[in-house]
Amino acid sequence: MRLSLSWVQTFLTKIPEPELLAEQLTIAGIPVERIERTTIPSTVVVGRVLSVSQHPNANRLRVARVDLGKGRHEQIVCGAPNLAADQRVAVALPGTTLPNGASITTATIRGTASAGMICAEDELGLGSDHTGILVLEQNVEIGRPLAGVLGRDETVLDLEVTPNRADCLSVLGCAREISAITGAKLLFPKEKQKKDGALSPKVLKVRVEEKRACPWYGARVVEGVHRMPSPDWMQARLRASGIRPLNIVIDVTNYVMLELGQPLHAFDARALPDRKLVVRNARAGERLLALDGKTYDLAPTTLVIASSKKPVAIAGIMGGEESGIQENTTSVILEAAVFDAKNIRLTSKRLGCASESSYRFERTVDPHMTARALDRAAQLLVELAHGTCVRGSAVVGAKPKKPVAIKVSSDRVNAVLNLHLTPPAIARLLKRDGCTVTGAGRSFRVTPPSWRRDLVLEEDYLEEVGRIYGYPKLPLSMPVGTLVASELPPLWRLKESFTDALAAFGGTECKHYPFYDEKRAQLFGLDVNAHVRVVNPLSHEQALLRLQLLPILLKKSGVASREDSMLFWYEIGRCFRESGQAQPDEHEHIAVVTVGPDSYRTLKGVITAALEMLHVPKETVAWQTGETRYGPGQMVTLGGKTAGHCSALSPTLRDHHKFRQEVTVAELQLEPILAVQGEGRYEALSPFPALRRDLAFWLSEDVPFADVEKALAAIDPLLVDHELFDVYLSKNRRSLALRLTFQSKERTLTSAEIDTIMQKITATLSKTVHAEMRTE
Amino acid sequence: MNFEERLRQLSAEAKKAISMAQDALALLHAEKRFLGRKGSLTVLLKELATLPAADRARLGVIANATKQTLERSLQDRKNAFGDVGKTQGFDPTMPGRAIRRGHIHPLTQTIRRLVEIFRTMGFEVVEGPEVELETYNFDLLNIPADHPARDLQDTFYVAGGKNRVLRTHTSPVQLRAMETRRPPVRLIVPGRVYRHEATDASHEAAFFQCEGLVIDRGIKLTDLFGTIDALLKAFFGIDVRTRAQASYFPFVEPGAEISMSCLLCHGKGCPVCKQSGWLEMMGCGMVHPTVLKNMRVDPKIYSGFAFGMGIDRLMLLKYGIGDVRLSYAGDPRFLKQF
Repeated sequence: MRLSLSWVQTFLTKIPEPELLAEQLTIAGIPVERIERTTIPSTVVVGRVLSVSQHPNANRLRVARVDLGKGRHEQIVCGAPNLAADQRVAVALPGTTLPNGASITTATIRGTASAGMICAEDELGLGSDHTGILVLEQNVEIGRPLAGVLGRDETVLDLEVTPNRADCLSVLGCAREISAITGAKLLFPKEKQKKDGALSPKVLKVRVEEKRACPWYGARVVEGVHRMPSPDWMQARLRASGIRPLNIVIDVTNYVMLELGQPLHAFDARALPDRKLVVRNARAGERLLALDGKTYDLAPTTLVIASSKKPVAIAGIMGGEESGIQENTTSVILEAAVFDAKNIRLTSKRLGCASESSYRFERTVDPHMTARALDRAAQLLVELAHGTCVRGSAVVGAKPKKPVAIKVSSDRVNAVLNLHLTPPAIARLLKRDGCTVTGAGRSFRVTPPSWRRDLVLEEDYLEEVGRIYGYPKLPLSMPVGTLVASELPPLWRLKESFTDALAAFGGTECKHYPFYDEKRAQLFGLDVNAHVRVVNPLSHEQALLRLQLLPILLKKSGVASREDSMLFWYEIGRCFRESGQAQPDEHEHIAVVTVGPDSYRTLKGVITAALEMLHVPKETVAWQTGETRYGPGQMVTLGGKTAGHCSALSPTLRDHHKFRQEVTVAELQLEPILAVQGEGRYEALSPFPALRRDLAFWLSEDVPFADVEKALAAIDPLLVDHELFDVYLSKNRRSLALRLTFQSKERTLTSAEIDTIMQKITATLSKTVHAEMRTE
Repeated sequence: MNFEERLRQLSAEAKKAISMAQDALALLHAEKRFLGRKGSLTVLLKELATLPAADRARLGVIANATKQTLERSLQDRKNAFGDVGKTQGFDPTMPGRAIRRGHIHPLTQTIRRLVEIFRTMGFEVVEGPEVELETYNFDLLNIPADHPARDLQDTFYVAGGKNRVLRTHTSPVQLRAMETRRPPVRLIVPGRVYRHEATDASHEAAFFQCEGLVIDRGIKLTDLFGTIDALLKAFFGIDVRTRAQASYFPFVEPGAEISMSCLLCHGKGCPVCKQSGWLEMMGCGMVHPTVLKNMRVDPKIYSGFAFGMGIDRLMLLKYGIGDVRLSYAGDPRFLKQF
């Protein structure tokens, strides 16, 4: 809502400076997004276009001769499509600096001299319109400064009105709000009951078929409306409010809507030849060409205003093109109605058609203002367009219901707001808001004003009291109560520990968007149907929620690996799997990418060490060799359940992501870790020393190390650990060096004992894996 | 004196010299005198070759043992003084070896800070699903389908089951958490949320939010303001000021928005705070009685407050990051700064 301060000021005894007002409104819950000031420079004057000719050297430009008054004629080059002879226009003379910062000088444009600029609305800071130049009324004095014509400088507050405060979608409503929060008096006369009876059915007959969707409908007829532009002051106010002036009838309906908050519509009476108007639901197959130039297919739930033959408007949303005000309209039917908010919202959503009118109806209008708005519009048409208002109005609908009173307890107000206000003080604050307060004592009955449909519960009044009193003036406090000890959720702790472990090992944590597309899923052979699909993604590349982290992590790390040849990235995050249930399965994953020589062993080591840090018992971890969808590697099982994999990225995928080196990837689900995670208990130290022996041997390349481990495991329980400390490749065999640890929990081992076991080891390895002992 | 006696004498002298050496330089002199190329012990040992074969083997063993003992004690002393003799190549001004350190994402660090601060105030941490049902995301939070308030949050819809959405806020977890809890309750829900809107420097379509919920007897609106004030002071520093303003969210009443004095201009007005001097930090309010009832909590007995703040925004402000999109872009130059 764009609020013109010069306009709202007419409703108030006094008004604070714009900055202060903006702050007060913001604090009270009507946030001011922007303060816009317009100052029209004094060197912008009214000119009359004498003639228009094509620019000799430019197709899109034309040359105007403009009368600037006092006998001054100038030649001005202009590109606006709507420029025409005899128009009154705004001319920025050379030397002008426009509100948008542009300096106007005498210039030669494509070889033609131009002494000034004919301005569009936005160039003058009057609005946002740049479809053409600003065309003024015919009767304005040529040569006059524009500022004098359009009124003084304007300041506009751009308000972000929340959905509950429909009452602030009008100048009057904002004036009420400013009055409530600043204490300024509201200047708005109570309605004078100037009843002029019912309209003769001969002039117009109204029938409402859908009483629920349209509880109140009123119409008036104004005849003999002259075709003329609306006065400059009205145009200026419309522009300041962000609405483009069109013609007097439309301008008046818009003006009254902005002023009072009640949307209005005007029909050309010729659209209702038999003077019958029906408010009904659309019939199957009915269509309407609306004022926005689009044709809408109407559904049987679409409320329409119809002639005896066909719809002429989509009720409360948009009028029909055919029944709209034309250049030669003289007889006007004005409509002011109350339409059901939900109905308007559903129709507007379904048709994809919204307007200033539907915006207000969706948020509910003040039913007590409808008749008054109708009268106001008719009166303005009489005053400004020399029309004649036909006596009486056609009204269908019951008087609007009075708002319901609610009991408000002053103790509750004070308790929640942490204040010590007396009941009369609370009542005074509520009265500023337009509420009626009855009863004395600690609780009273409060009736909201008709325009505050949002005040329903006692809680709503708690907010009102706090708001008018001022939230910033409330004292601060801390919640008092019993504190309950809580442990972080196990999964949360696991994520934290994993984050720390990988960072400690040198990893860089990333976070990425949780979406990718079908193509990416298929690249890794992931089942597209296992993915959770977004119905309305922002782009087709974000159509699927991630099933795994690696598809995106690989994409990003591929790019980054060009900068970092030793890249080590990881991500921890939620992954989604379609379950066919009400909600998909959601699991926390961790994915790691390592780049560089020997990256497989590095990453496997990282995972092993991390699991160790997380107290996952060694015996629950198993590595099963095989081909994963990412390349050759191993599946990781925890307690017998597959948790994920560690894979050397296949050359195809490596090239696809433009990695230049060896890449290893791993992804694990976190829940299986939780299931096997231990406590990290201390194990008693053996009082007997451990003995270590090194063993080096050649192994054929096609014998997996796992076989060596298997062989070692069966040899002797005194062999408690082995560590691979050196590997090198030579032709088709590998040299492996192991450090073996022997220990007993019962006694000190002798060298001779170990020698015997060592002999057994060399013998076994030679036999089972054909190891060739190195003696050099 | 025969060889053996001379050996013993020289050994005693050398031991004395080594043990008496007061610094590394004196030690170096002692080493040169006895064990150097022309040192007296070295010279003596050369005589071994001239001895009769019968003595040579026996005395050789003794001589070598003596030499080794001296060398060992020399080394021990050297270790004590620092080896001035081997300073070659030692340059303490060289940079430390480049340790590849890890980096934890600034969002994770921000979340940790938040959790840490809230836990000092007795809050527990709760998580919930990101693919939500409209019932939890909207209906039970007092946002009916036909209400314009739904337009406040542009929604991603999810195919498959009925009424699935990507949660637009962490608020549905309030309701899920209360399915298994009774007051008193203090909890926070840090997690990812989704908004169907074009991204720019300050808006992401998927970002992180931290929900908070407190329910107990006699909880006041000002408890909410106090808690948030305490949080922001703990997070950004004690000089930070907060300001509450009225606002509207269908699941709270009274509703509020809390702003914080601009960190850049300290309230004077600058482009970051759009000249207002204040930064909007979060929407909050007293839990709406309808929502309390949906939690099976009696609004006549209990009251509560709830808030929802953007974690990304806290991160941007904390680290002075100008563009939220950097956070999810996977740019190593960004990630390595944290």
